[in-house]
Order: sequence, then structure tokens, then C-alpha cells
Amino acid sequence: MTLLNSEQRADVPAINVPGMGVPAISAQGLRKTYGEHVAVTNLNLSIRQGEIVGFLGPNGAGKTTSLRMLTGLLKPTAGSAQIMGYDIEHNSVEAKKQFGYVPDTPNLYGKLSGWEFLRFMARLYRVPQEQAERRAGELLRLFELYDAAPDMVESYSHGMQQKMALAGALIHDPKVLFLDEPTVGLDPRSARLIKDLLSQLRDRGSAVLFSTHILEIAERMCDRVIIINNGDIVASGTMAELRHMRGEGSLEDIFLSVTGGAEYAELADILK
Amino acid sequence: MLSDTWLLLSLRWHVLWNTFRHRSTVTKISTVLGSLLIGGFVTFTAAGIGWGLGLLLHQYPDRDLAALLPGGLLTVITLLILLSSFGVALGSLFLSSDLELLMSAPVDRRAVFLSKMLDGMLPSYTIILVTALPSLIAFGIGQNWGPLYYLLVLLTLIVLPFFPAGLGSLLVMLVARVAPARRVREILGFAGALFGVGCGLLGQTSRFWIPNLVGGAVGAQPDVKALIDDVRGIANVPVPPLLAGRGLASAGLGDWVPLVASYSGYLLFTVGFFVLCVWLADRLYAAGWVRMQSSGNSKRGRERSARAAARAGWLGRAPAWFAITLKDWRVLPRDLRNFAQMLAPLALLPFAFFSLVGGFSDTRATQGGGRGSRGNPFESFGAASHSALGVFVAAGVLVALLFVFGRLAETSISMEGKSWWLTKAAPLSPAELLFGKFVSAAIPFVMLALIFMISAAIWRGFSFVWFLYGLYGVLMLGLGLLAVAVGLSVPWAKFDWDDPRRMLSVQTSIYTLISWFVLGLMGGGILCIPLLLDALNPELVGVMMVVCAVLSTVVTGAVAYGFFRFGMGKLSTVGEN
Repeated sequence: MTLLNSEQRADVPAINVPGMGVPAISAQGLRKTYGEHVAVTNLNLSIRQGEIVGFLGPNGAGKTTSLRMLTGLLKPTAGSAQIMGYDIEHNSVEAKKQFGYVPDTPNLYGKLSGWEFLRFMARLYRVPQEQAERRAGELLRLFELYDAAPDMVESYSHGMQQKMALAGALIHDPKVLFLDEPTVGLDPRSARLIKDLLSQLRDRGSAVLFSTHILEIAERMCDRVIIINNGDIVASGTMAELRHMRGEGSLEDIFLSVTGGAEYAELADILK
Repeated sequence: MLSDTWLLLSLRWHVLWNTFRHRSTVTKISTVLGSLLIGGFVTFTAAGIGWGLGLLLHQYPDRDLAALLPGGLLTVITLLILLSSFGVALGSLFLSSDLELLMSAPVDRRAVFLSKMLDGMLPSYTIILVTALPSLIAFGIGQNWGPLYYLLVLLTLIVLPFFPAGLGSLLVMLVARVAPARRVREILGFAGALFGVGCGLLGQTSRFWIPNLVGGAVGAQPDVKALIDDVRGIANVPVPPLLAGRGLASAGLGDWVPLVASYSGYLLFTVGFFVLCVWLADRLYAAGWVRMQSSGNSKRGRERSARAAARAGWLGRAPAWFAITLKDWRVLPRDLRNFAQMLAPLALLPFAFFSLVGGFSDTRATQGGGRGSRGNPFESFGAASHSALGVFVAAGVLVALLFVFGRLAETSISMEGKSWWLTKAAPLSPAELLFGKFVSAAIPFVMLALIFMISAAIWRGFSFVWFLYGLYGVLMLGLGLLAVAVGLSVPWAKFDWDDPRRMLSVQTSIYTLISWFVLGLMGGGILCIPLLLDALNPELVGVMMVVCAVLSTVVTGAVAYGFFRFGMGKLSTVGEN
């Protein structure tokens, strides 16, 4: 477990776990700048297979930018990242075969039906036809989208589209899953389903990195939590490690103390 | 309610001003200059039309045209506004992104409706400013009419959009009660394209129907006086723009009784109809808006899904690059607005083709080539003009098909829109992705090229060798030019569009056009060398056909490959901002 001061943040070493083969996700010195604005300063991380890691941080901290760099959607200004040992920039096709990704806003092809969308995704990920058809049916039933699957995706609600995006990300049974705010827009039943699904994926050896603002989900589900603020990792470790360092406070207390939000909580108390 | 309406309108204008203010200086200057240039051109043309109509009045003094001409002008402008008012009303009343915020804000709901409606009338006033105002002023100056005419012109034009705006809003409200607004927008775009195709076809066939319209034979001079008399018959129809036209003419001529009668009729009808439409539409607005929030398919069911599950089709077993192609072929026709972009040139294509092939004078009889020469494929080589027909047809087919499928190639990456992340995060190599996009445009291009070239060959009786040579030229050059467009579609791809008609970037369009022109001259020029030899030294034609085909293929292939590689290189960074 590490709680980092500003000097230490600059160079967090990647963690490789001996005996577990290559890390599922690793990043070294990832940096992204837009002109003079630094979105991510220096991201170093290593996530094992069979591990669920929560990626926390205030709005604009750099979570989505980090996820987009790790998935190859954004080209980093500096640094590198590997998925199951494959470099996302230099061996991108192999790296992308290993993971599924669901962004915070699931913009899908509105003019494809649910079935067509899943078949399209299966072809992109080279899933054999028989396996793809079976898995598509299973996923549609699991997410309660089977009846709506012949309809155009544009007719789905936000939550249904979110679930369809997740089904698309799972069609090739990925070893790594990146999720950006996966429970936003979902009803409690669907949110619970996703939580159970993530646990199953972990049990089968997949790695999951997901960003969320719901600290309760992170606290209950994650093996490890990474907190990012202003483009820097400011804390990383298991819940036990974080509590050990910060006393017996909740994740919310730890989050507020390392992201500078504690003063706002005090201000809110005064306003009461 | 009025204060809320004013608040919402001023906020809207503030947003528009801020949008303009935060653009780069170059964009601001080019926007202002472009608007002035286009506005100036339209204004000047409209004034010319007004002046010309005035001359018509002097030319036919016995035809009593004073009341008809301003009314006719106003009717045309009203129809123009009416055509756009439905789409504008649909967009501003149901599809603006700020509606949820406004409908849940503590402002009068009627103020939201009214502000949106008035906001939607701004384009109408712009049309009036550059068309009706200059033409009516020029017409008045030509007649030497007094200040009352100009005063009433201003009042008329202020009131003019009320009728089409009211009608448009009312129609939108009624349609929104029975169909989802987004689908209506698509159908509207499609209908607009059909209207364009219809106008295009009417223009192309005008030489056949205009003489019938004016009662003369094909090729005869139309009887203008008879035509004027026919049109004058509708001048007395009591519709607002014609009433206003009669009022304006009476003001110019100083006839007070018809002035008061016509003009008061115009004002009462227009303003009254507007108020009635606003009142009715306001009552329908909330219901239509609420309906739009809850659109879905009521026919969902397990059996239906099971049937869909059993129909995997090609998409279920295609390689990744072809899955991209199949996806594009499904998505494209399902968005009617997008499909309409292709429909217009596609619909005009057969007509242009038949005009091209059929319109060319038949030289077979005089030159000795054609059908009768099929026994010897080289027999028609001496027929230079027949060969020229072949080149003309081949070039025509190539240009027409590029017009249709070039857009598909130019927008191949932009077409992904906001779903671009799906393709970019997928394990696809740049070559696979661009190849899939290329095939989307190439297959229909090849199919239509084959159909048109074979039809032309059978119809006009090209020799078999020249047919093969022409077909090869069309396919090779066409595919090369499509590959260039696909490569250039990458760096300037637009992903943030909501309306597929706006997905083509200006840069892609311009660079593609320039590249096509240069490559077309190079590749096409080489292919035309045997035609020159056909006239100079026919014995060398056979050899030169092979040499030129190879040379042109090498040049076109190298250039196309270069552009394709350029696009592949840009794929990793496109859409990052």
C-alpha cells in the first residue's frame, strides 16, 4: 500500500508479481498533454490476472484519459502500456484481442439491431461463428436484452445500451476488462448483475480495471484501489492497506484526504 | 410569459454570439466574408429579378401585371420558407439539446414553445432579407412608386414568415403525436432529397414538357402572352402573399380602395392564422414532447428474437474487414438522411447515362464500325469518332459513379461517428479497417460500372476489345480514385455529427477533388494514348493498349497505394480531440 507525497508521485514503479506470469495490465510513465494542459502526468501501474482494481478520482482527475490510453484510444504523449504483455501501441492488434472496453457513454451503432451489433463485435474479435452465436444468446439473456435484440439499438434506453455495450465487450471472453463508470444509468438490479459478473470474471482469472464515483462499490468489490488526482496516482493499495495507513476511516475519508476534498466536507458541516 | 420568452431568446442569442466569438480569427473572418459574399450575390441576383419583372410590366402594359408580379414574388418566397419551416420547426421544437433543461426549468412552458418558434423564424427572415427585400425594392424603383409602397414592403416582409411558420409548427405538432420526432426528421431529409431529385429530373426533361405546358410543339418558341394569361388566372386566389402583392401594387399606383381591402385581408389572415396555429400548437406541444421521451418498440418478444437469432447471414461468418463492409451496408440505407445523399445521384444516374449514350450521334452507319463489326474485334479501330463515343461513355460512367460512391469513400471513417471508439478499440489493423471501408464503396461501384458499360456496349455496339479496354479503364481508375478518397477520409474525419449530411469535412472534399483531378489526368491520359494512335497509326493500337493499360495501372496503383498508406498512418491518432 502506498500513500504518496508530491515528490514521490513523479515516479511510481510498475509492480510485477512474481509467479503469476505477465501482469494483465501494466503501464510505465504514461503521460498525456493537450497543449499546456497536463491531463495525466506519469501513470505507472501493474494489475494482476484475477484482480479487480477500482480507479477512483474527482471529476477531471484523468481517469477516463488514463483508460483511453490503456485501451489504445488515445496516443500517449510519453510512456507505454501493455495488456497481457502486448504493447498497446506497437503490438496493438494482439493487445486489443485481450481486452473488452465499455466507455462511460455507450455510443453504439444505432442503426444496427442488438443481434447484428453482437455479431459485428464477434467478427471484429474473430470469435468462431458457432461460439459467437451461443455466447450472444447467453449474454442477451443474462442482460435481459433477448426480447429487444431484434430492435435497432437506437430504440434502447440508456441502461439497455450500457448493457448492450457490456455484452459486446464480453463477446470474446476477454482476459482483461476496462469499464468506465459501468453502473451509471443502470437500475439496481442491473447494477447488481454487473457486480456479480465482475466477481465471476475475477474468479475465472480475468483482470478488471474500472473507474467509478460510487465508493461503496469500490470498497466492496475491489481487491485494490487506485486513486488519481490532477493526473497523478496519489494512493494505491488494498482496502486493508489503505485503512492501515489512514486509521480506520472509510474509503470516502481516505478519498477526501488524498484528493483534497476534506475541506469541502468541513465547509458542508459549517453550512449545516 | 413575454418576459420568459425574451429571457430565453436573449440567452439563445448570447450562446450563438459566444460560439462565434470563440472561433479562431481565420474562421471568424472567413465566416463573415463568406456570408457577405453569398448574401451579396443572392441580393444582387434578387434585385436583378425584381428589376427584370419591372421591365416585363412595361413590355406588356395591356396585361395588367402590376398586381401579379409582387404577389408572385411573395408567393415564391413564401413557398421557399414553407418548405424549410417544417424541418426548422421540428429541429427547434423537438430535437434541440437544451429542451430537457428548459422544460424542467421554472419558466412558462408556452415561453419555451414561443421562444423556440421565434428562434426558428430567424432563417426565414434571412431568406427574406436577401431575396424578397431587394427584389421588391428594385421592382418599386423600376415603377417609380412612392414611399408608401416601400413602407408597406417592410411591413409585409415582417409579417410574411408568420403564415409558413405557424403552419409548419402546427404540422410538426400533429406529426409528433403519431411518429417519433427523430424518425420524422429522417423521413423529412429523405423527402427533401426526393424533392431535389424531382426538380433535377424536371430540369433534365424540361425540353419535353415545357412546350406542352405552353401549348406548343417541341422546339417551338413559347407563347409568353398565353403563359402570362394562364398565370394571371391564379392571381385572384385569396392566399396571403397574393393579397399582399395586390395591396403593394395598389399602394404603388395610389388605388386606396383595393389597397385597404387587399392589405387588411393579408394582415388579418396572416396574423390570425398565426395566432390560431400558435394556440393549437401550444396545446399539442407538451403532449408531443412527452411522447418523444418514451419511444420504443411495442412488438418485442421472445419468438421474434429467436427468429432473428436463426438468421446470422454473412455477418455471422465474415472476416473482420468484411464485417466492416457489411455493417456499413446495413447502417447506410437505414438512416434515410444518409441514404438520400446517395439516392439523388443514383436516381439521376440512369437518366444521365441514357442521355449520354443515346444523345451521341450514331456514327456506325458512316464509319463502318459497330454491331456489324463484331466478327472482327479490331474492325472498328478506324472509326475515330466511334472510339471517341466509347471514351465519352466510359468517362461519363466513371464520373457519374464517382459522384455516387466518392461520397461513400470520402466519409468512410466519418461514418463511424460517435461509435468510432468501438472500431478503434477493436483488434483491427489499419489495413483491415481501411480495406473494409474501401470494399464498401468498391463493390457497388464495380457492379454498377459493369451494368452501365455492358449496356452501353450492347446499345451502341462497341467492338469487344474496345469494350474490354474501356471497362478495364473505368474499373482500374475508379478503384484507384476510391482508394485515394478512402485514404483522405482519415485525417479530417468528423465524428461529432448528429446529422449524417454533415459528416463530410471540407478538407477531405477539397483534397480529394484535387487528387482525383491530377490522378484522373495522369491515369486517364495514359489510357487515351491508343485513341490518338487509332487515328495516326492503327497498327500500333493493339500493342499500345496493353502498354498503356499496364503503365496507367502502375501509376494509378502507386498513387492510390500512397494515399492508402497515408490514411493508415493517420488512423492511430484520428478522433483524439
